[in-house]
Amino acid sequence: MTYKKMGISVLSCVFCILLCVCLLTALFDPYFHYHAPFEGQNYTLDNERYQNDGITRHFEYNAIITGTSMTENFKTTECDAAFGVNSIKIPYFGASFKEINDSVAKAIERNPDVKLVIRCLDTYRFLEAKDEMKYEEYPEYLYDDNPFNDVNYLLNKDIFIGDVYPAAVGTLKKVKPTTFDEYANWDSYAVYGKETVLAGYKRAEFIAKPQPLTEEERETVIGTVSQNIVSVAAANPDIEFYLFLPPYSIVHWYSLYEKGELQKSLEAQRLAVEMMLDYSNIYVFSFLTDFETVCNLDNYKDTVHYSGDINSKILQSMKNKDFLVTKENCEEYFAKTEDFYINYNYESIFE
Amino acid sequence: MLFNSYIFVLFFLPAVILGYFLLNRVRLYRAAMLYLLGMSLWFYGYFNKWYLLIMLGSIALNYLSYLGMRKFADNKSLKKLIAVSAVAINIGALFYFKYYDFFIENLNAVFKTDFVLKNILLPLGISFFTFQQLSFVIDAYKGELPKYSFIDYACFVTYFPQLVAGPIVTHDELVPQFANQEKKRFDWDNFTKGLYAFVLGLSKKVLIADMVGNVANYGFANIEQLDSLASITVMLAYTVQIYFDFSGYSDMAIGMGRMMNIELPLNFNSPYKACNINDFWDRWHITLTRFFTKYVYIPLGGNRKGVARTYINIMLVYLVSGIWHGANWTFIFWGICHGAFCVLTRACKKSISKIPKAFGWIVTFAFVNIMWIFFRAESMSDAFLLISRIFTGGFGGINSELCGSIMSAEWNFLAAQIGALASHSYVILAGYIVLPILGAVFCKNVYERMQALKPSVFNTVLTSLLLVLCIMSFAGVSTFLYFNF
Repeated sequence: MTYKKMGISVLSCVFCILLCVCLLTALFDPYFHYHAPFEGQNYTLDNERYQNDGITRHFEYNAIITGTSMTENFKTTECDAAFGVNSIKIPYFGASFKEINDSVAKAIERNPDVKLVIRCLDTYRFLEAKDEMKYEEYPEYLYDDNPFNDVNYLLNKDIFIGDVYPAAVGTLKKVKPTTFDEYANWDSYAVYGKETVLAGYKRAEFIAKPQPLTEEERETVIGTVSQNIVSVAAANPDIEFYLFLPPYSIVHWYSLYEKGELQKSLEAQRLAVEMMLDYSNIYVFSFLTDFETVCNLDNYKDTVHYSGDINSKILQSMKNKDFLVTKENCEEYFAKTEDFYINYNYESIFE
Repeated sequence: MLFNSYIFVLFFLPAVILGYFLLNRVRLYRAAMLYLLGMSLWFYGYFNKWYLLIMLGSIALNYLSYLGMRKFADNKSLKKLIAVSAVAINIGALFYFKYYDFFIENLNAVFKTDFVLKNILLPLGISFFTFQQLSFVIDAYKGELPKYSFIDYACFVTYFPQLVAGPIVTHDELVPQFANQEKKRFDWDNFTKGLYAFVLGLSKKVLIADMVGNVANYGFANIEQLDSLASITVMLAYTVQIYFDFSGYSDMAIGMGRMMNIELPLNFNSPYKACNINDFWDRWHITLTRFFTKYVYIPLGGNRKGVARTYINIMLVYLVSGIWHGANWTFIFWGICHGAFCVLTRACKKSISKIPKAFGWIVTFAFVNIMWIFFRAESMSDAFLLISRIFTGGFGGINSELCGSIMSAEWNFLAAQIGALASHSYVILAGYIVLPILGAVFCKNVYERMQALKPSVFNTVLTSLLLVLCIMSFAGVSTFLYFNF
């Protein structure tokens, strides 16, 4: 063999192998960047930041369930039955309002069929800066439309070994893909109950003085609600937005009380809800007043995360328009909420 | 641009080689040099446009100084003024970008002042291209230079294989090669040998250094949690990382140069084979040692002014070397310790020559390992803490975090197929430490390997598979850790 033959052989081999890898990745497309899964294709839904974008690009749907880990236990089959839609679930654990808003806006832009968006609004995020993102290394090459940076996807050892290969093997063995009901769903292996919730909670040594919402914080709330919640609804008046404040456990409210932030949090939520009520296509559901759920720690695995049964209950409530906050009943709702959480006997939690 | 990136390997490098040789083939030699210059500038500017401006400014300044010294060759004092000014500005700029914040921090600490840090970003490679140009300016002052055009000079400084991480090439090594007509013809022997060296260098960086780097990073960030065995593992991991990373870069540079028929100087000659510290420095970052010898040690008098002065000169060189490596007391301490050990070795040369080589190797390797701790640690206290953990950490069992940090996609896949591997993953970690060290001690250097390369099916398959594995390792999948609130 000559050096010339070796040189040409190396270049040819490398080119051929890389081309095969690209073609296989594009064929099984575990992140749905190029196409929806083909008939009989196996795929595993298990990586939110990598797969949600592709799901909104290529799956067929006319409704979206989205939000933080508060939405991971939703079942799209239940949503479809309740509302007569064909829904997808795209949760983003630990996400900021901006991350979720941008995802919803992009999905709507890509899919003109969307008619319903169900989204949770984690109440502590009302006080976070509007442009805050919680993570740093997002796979932007999947989110944009630049084909050149797709090389990060097509020639990626972690993806090829961890996702393409299993998809190929699963397809040959006719393994069923993950359903949206199962996607990110941790209900079956979580441990619920008072003992678990309180074991994970460390009480402070003293109760801080209650603080009201400052002027600067008011501006923050207005900023984030405008940019990250209502703007997409305003831009899409034909789409219904079912936004809900999730039923955090009473221990969460205790933690706010302990830090002196209870009043601040309630004021922030009031401001946010008032802003949302200005839009006829936004339906605000607040499960803060579902006191029965909130005070029963058997529903929770920690201070905020509730079981799949509660997710099911939330869907049914939304269908029946229970816990709906409207312009007509909002004052009554605010009064009821403030009265309950400010005057609650928090010590009774620890008895 | 990074060598270990898709754009570099799949686009830039092929484009440079194709364009350079195609233009030379149609005898557009000047255009070929301009093309090379343009691509090198794009390579550097890809990191940051401002860095590019700084480097261009530096090149312009030094070239103008050279022209000035040629014009006023007969006016000794003016010539000296130009040289001194150029050297001062080069070093001043390096000081500003690299050491300003360090200087202010220490000023504040000692004098309780409150000067504000500027958080200056360091232009990549500034230490390298500054030293390269200093050597040029000083040689110009001494009258040791032929006539160079601006293109000659600019191509020499910006030549992309060696721009960011060396080897530190001198003008007389590179410029005549660019002028050599013979070298402008594409040569398959050189191309294939160079490609082979490039792939080996890339593998050293991506498949070894970056992997053990995860172990070192975890260890240095969690020193308190390490027991004795884990501390030793972390220390060895960094020893492997720094050698395979730095020599990997040099091998890539030499390989790429060879692909273009350009010979770049050897920078690493199997340094972990050294049986005494002076031998280590003859093998490690050879071009830096060469620079310091020519431009610091010899002007100070070298070994020609008595024993005591020789030792002082050696200490000064290592002190400057420590400072050059980074703006932290850890680097300065590292330099001083190496200098002291060199002086000691030199002073006891006769007695040392009687010691068996194996023993010499153990002492040298142990010393180098301990000193790398200072090189890597964020602070002196961190370094001393890790060293003390080696001796006082006890044995807490196999550290699962360290084992986990080495488990890449392919190892996880293999562990899923082979149960024994899954339950004994420390074997993989041990492999990543022991095998590279054995390789470093027993394998040939990059020049020897290029020389010894025989075209064969085995070498073709090996080179191809390594290159494919490296390319596919340029991107990974980030882990998003869930945290609430």
